[in-house]
Amino acid sequence: MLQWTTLSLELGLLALALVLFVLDLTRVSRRLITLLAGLGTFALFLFSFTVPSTGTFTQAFILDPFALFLKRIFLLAALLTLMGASTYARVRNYTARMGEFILLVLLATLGAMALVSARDFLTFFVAFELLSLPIYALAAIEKGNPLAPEGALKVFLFGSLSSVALFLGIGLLYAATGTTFWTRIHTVLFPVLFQLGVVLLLVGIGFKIAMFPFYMWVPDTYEAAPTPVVAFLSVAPKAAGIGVLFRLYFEFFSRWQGDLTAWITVLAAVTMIAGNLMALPQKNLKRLLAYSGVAHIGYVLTAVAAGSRFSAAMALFYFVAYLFSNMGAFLAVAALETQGVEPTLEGSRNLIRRSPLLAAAFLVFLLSLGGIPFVLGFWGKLYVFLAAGKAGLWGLVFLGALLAVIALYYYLNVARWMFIVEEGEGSLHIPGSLLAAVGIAAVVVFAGGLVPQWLVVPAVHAVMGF
Amino acid sequence: MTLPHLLQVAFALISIGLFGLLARRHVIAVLLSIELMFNGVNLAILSVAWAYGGEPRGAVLVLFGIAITVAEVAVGLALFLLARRVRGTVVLDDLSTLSG
Repeated sequence: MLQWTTLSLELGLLALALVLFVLDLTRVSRRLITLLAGLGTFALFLFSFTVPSTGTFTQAFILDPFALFLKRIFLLAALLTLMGASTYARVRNYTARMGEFILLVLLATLGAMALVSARDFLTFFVAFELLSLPIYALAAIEKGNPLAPEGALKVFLFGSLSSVALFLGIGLLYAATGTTFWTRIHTVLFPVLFQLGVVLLLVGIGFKIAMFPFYMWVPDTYEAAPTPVVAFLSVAPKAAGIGVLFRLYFEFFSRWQGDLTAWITVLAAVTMIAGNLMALPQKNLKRLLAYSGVAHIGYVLTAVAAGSRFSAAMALFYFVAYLFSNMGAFLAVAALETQGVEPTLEGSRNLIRRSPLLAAAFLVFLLSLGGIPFVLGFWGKLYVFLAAGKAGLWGLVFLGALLAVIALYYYLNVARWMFIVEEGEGSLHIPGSLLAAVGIAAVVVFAGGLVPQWLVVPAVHAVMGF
Repeated sequence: MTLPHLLQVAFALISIGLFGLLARRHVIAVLLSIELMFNGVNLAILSVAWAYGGEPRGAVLVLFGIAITVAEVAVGLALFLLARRVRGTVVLDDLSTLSG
């Protein structure tokens, strides 16, 4: 019996993407299409609360509360991206390509949604590529920008290499076990191939989530790509990668967990260190946020290393916080760029005078990313470290806390530049939907910090299935 | 022809591809290297499936793999054309200006 309701969200998103693509070929205005895309994504987000939260579609695809929670994160990420991009595209003169833009964003979201539901390596690989391919094209959507091909080629080449590694890993796991279904593995015939396959799998996912040492493409691509795309790129693939890592952990790696914990502990530690230290000297806001994103993946990997159900829940919660703070920060940078301001520390000078609202929102995001009490990001860090502590990884917790203090320097440095007041510069008028997206994110980050239990409790419920 | 022979060919293909990816600077050559690595992996999976007595799942995996590779190369060629038009060069070293 095939439970088609299991696929309802994915099918709905696919239908939305294709309908909008066809509409784009007609004379319907781009604004209307963008509006429909936003409304459709939001409708799917609301719809996700009504779908039955458990079910399998063959053995390859599972819908459980964990996957559903992540799917909501992806839908919100797509929604914020579309809101930001509609304005950004107008200012940067690529409104004519908004149709493709929407199709690509929605398809990448579809890939992410399928990825966290995959339970079989074929589904996993196809979903992984569906998430990757649109992003290569999206990175170069702003064709006139001389940096565009460079950023896109970098993410493309590293991404392709990661695909090869992933596919080879899948091949080795297939050779070692004789099946591609995670749940059907009874015996591992060749342990060496199995271990090598797992390592290659980690390499493939590591590129996607920008884990050390596979993060080299991140700052360059982030600097060159359109900022709303970067906002999407900095959240959706990372959440998908971590989500699939947790699913692999609980359903597939279980026979190998002991060794893996040690590995991921080390990777989490180096990723945190590398991200935070590299972020320190950055002058470009997008590069700074890129490295800060690497550091955040280090914190989330701490939860992966803990490998308990509680830590999975806290990673989910962390991603909600990260979704709004990080996307908010990138969208605030996008808002600066639409006003012809360079996305650098220098450029954010005097922001408090030029646009007090944007400065306040940006400050909230930075405080949240830095983990200052009591905004959303603080609770995210606290709970992730708590989960790691419960699992006995106190060294990692100590390192993370230390690095979080160092991280405050570069976050607050941006804030310092914003508060340098000078006379004589005109105020900024941030246009429509971009301001709305920044505002929504800021309100969620601020209000969520006051009542974090509203998000923590659903996250805990979401992992009950494991 | 036995499994080890096939796997040796697959390994050779992957190694040549990896070498090309690291050594060549022209975008097309790099794309070809990636393609070569993918084909090596495809061959390896197919030969393993063959050794498992014609297990169908391996062949299905490879079919999907081929389709995805084609899509990937299509995107890569589009980026190649874009690079040539916007930057007037297709050598990776000349394309690389971002750092820090």
